[in-house]
Amino acid sequence: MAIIPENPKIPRITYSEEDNDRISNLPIPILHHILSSLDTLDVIRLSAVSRQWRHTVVKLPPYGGFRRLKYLFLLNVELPNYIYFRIFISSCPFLENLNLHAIKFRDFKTLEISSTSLKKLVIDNNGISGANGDGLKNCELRIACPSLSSFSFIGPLPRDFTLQDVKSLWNVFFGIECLAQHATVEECHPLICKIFKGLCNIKVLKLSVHHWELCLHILYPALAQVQCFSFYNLKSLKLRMRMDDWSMKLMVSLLKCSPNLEALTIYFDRCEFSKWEAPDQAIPCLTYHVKVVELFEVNGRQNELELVRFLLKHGQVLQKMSINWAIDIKDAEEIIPEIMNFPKTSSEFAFCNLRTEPESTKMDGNPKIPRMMGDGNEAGDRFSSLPDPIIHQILSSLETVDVMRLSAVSRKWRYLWISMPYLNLDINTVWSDPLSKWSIHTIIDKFKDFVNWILLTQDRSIDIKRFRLFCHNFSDDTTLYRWLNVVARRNVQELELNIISHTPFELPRCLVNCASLVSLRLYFDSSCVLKLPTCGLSRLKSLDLLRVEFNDFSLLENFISNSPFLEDLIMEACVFREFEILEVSSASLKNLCVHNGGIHDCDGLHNIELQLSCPNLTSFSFIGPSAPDYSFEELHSLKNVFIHLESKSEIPNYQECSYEMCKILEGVCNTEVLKLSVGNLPFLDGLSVPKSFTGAFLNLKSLTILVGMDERHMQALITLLICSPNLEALKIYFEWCGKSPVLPKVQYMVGLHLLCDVDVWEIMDKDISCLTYYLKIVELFEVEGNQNELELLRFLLNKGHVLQKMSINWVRGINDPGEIIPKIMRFPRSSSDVELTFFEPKSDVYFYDL
Amino acid sequence: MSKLGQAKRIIFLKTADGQLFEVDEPVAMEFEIVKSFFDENEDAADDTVVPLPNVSAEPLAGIIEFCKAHVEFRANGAAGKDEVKKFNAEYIKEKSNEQLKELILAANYLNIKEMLDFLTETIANRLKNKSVEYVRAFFGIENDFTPQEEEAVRKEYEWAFEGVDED
Repeated sequence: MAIIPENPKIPRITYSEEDNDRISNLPIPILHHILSSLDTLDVIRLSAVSRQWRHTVVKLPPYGGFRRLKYLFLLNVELPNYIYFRIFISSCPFLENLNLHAIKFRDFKTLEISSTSLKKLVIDNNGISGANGDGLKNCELRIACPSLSSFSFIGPLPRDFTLQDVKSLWNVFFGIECLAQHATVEECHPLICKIFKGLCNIKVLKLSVHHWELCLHILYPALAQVQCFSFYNLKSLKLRMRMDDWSMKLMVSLLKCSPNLEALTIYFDRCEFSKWEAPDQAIPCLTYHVKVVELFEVNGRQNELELVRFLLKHGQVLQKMSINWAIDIKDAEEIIPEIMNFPKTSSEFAFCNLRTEPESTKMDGNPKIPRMMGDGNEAGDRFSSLPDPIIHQILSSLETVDVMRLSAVSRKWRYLWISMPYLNLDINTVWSDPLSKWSIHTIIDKFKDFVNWILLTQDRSIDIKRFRLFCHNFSDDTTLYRWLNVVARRNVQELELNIISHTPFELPRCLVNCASLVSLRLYFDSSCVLKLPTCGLSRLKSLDLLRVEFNDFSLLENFISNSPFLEDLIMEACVFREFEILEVSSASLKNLCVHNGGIHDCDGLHNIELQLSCPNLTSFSFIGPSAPDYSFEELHSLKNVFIHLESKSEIPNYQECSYEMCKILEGVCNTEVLKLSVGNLPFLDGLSVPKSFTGAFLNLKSLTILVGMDERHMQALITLLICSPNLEALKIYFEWCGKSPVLPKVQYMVGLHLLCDVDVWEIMDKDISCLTYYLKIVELFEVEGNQNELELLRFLLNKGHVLQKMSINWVRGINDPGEIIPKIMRFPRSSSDVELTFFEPKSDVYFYDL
Repeated sequence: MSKLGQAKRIIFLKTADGQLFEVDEPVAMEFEIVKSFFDENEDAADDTVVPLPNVSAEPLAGIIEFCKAHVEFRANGAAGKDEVKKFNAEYIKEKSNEQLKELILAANYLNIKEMLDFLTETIANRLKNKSVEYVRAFFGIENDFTPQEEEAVRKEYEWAFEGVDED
């Protein structure tokens, strides 16, 4: 019997041998303290990390284990007594997780681990020489744990190995370093067989064998006897192997004994190799089950290609194969076509994922032992293991100052902001409530310092994806331009400038020449002159301008037509000073948005002719006053049009308006979706006069329109329906008196003639093509139930042969829709399955939101 | 482009934890990874099961819910409207930070740009003006600074630590 502590009540921890220095004396009270609270201890971690501390002898209490211990992790510990250890383990009734790393098992005859609670066991004895009989080489390993689910063993093959009662075991990692001392091949053969028989129920097996010279002769013949045993439940096999013919044969044998295998992962070791020829025979698991194959550290050698060929040929249900090249592979591009040409038997075979990036280098850890992917058991910080671009994206909307604060989170995040490709710098939010502390001039100066410091400190080799800046710009200050210079040199892609302007802004040379810039947003707090260059921006795709003042129409036209990639152009509340023509002609433009509403002086578009010539324009949105003339050319690609013309305060000229309206509609007649609002303007009158409008909306599928209730408007609506033979959906917004129907914010003048009572009218009894064949959905808004509306409803129900749905949204505050509904229900219907619904809106409905 | 009358195609997806999902084709095609799977395998059989080895059932169910709603919004022409914002707000309201993380990882793997943008934005909103401790807890990050080091970092960006919201 070995050591018995003097006082059995107090477990003693003493330290071995020579150590008399201060360090070894220090922790005793601490450990005592820890051990004195054993009853409540859930986790104990005894590790000794420095050299002096290596192989601290731990004397375990001989009388029993820790009553509530769940997790035990021992690193670099020397265990002197195998009996105490056995008793200790089996006396910890809640122990679930046992990790033994680099343990010296001094004079152990048996390492016996028997526990009913243990779920996860790791024995990692890699690197323990065992020279003094303290490794596992001479030891017998016995494991009897009925709840054990996961078992990892790394180290030399012990003298004997018994697995008893491991019914729950499904996940095993074996990294066998070398054979037991003095053991011969003959002795090892039955041992290996015994081990594998003990593991026959597992689902996941990772296997890594380093001394193939020795082990091959044992493993291969052992496995070759397929009838001996089978891994019936094995679903996933992960192998670290060399590529010589013996290893390949071993792998094939393993496949043969695993009839239900679904996933195969192989990590290749470097070595000399002898040529291997795959057997030309089907293997059950390949024929029926193997779906995913992953190969790592592939070098493109003959045997590897032979393996790929073999797997592709016999893998009848293979869905995915990924090949991860070794880091130093040179000719991957040449090998890929060769692999692609191998015959494949699987009909579902998905993708040969030939990644050329050397991802395999990320298989971290001990270079000797490939840590082949996590089991998914380890939780941990999955989040900061996200790829940097995603972390950047998450943080991209934060202010840069907030990202800097995150430097204090952890080491990994320490310098995160230095490589952030998104910068958001806003003078209003860098400091909380700065105006209470400093004057506005101090704040402006401090902000300059701040931005300068950021631009200086950031890694200048990182390209900027988006630079957002909110700042002042003064006439005698070039700070803003200097910043833009730095940003342009860092290949900025998106630039968003919010400028409180005190002076005209000039688009600087550096931005004009910046080949990376794809998106430019320029927002001024109040109207500010923008000086344009004489050329365009070579790569710009999107241009968004707010409250920008232009004072030269030819420069603007030139700028737009000389930006060859411009797709989106938004001009909101812009001032076109002394323009006669606003011309937008661009072959690349897809979306154009001119919102000029509410600008009622000479700066608006009142006196400017609008000329568009954009063959690829798909979406056009216009809010503004009616222009003196329109010229829409080549708008063949239009799909989506929104036009809202503002009402005029003076009485408009009917004929002129009709003429303009016809021009607009003819210009956009290719569109599929049209939203039209013309306020009080008598534009639609042009349509009410037969034959004044000659175009046709052959592509129009959806029409949304704001109409008044007088006869002319209704007549115009009918004309539009006649011109749109393929219309499928119709939304009508009835305008009624005293309410601003279009935009909540825009001052809206209601024309006098709409305020009057309207004449009662009747629609002629005539079929309309789109009603007969296509119109399925009708939605009516702001219905107040007057006679003309009902006449229109009657007409649509009567003529709509394929109508499926009609919804009627009453105007807010309508008195008694209950009286009107029965009237509507009695209207004769041509369509058998039309669904009529009535809604009372809870809030105001605006035409703009439809 | 009316698709009425055509039989709806169902895509089968299998998660890491072995659950099988049946998803309408337009919804499944929101997942770039599934889309490219079928683009590369044009002759794939209708009952092909697409394995998603990095996604488990719970986040996938959430993602399908989101994409389904957004596909419908787009079909109704409601994209970008209040209705969508309302749905998004409602959708995210019930999600814990933990679920959000799972959703992000899954959306990243499945490569759904619209959803990923929305989720990263949401996470960013939850992180705005929060303390370092909050962020650590939020992401489950261990503080591996020594107290001295952390002090030094905080000192360096001292003014960035003013006026942070209470956790």
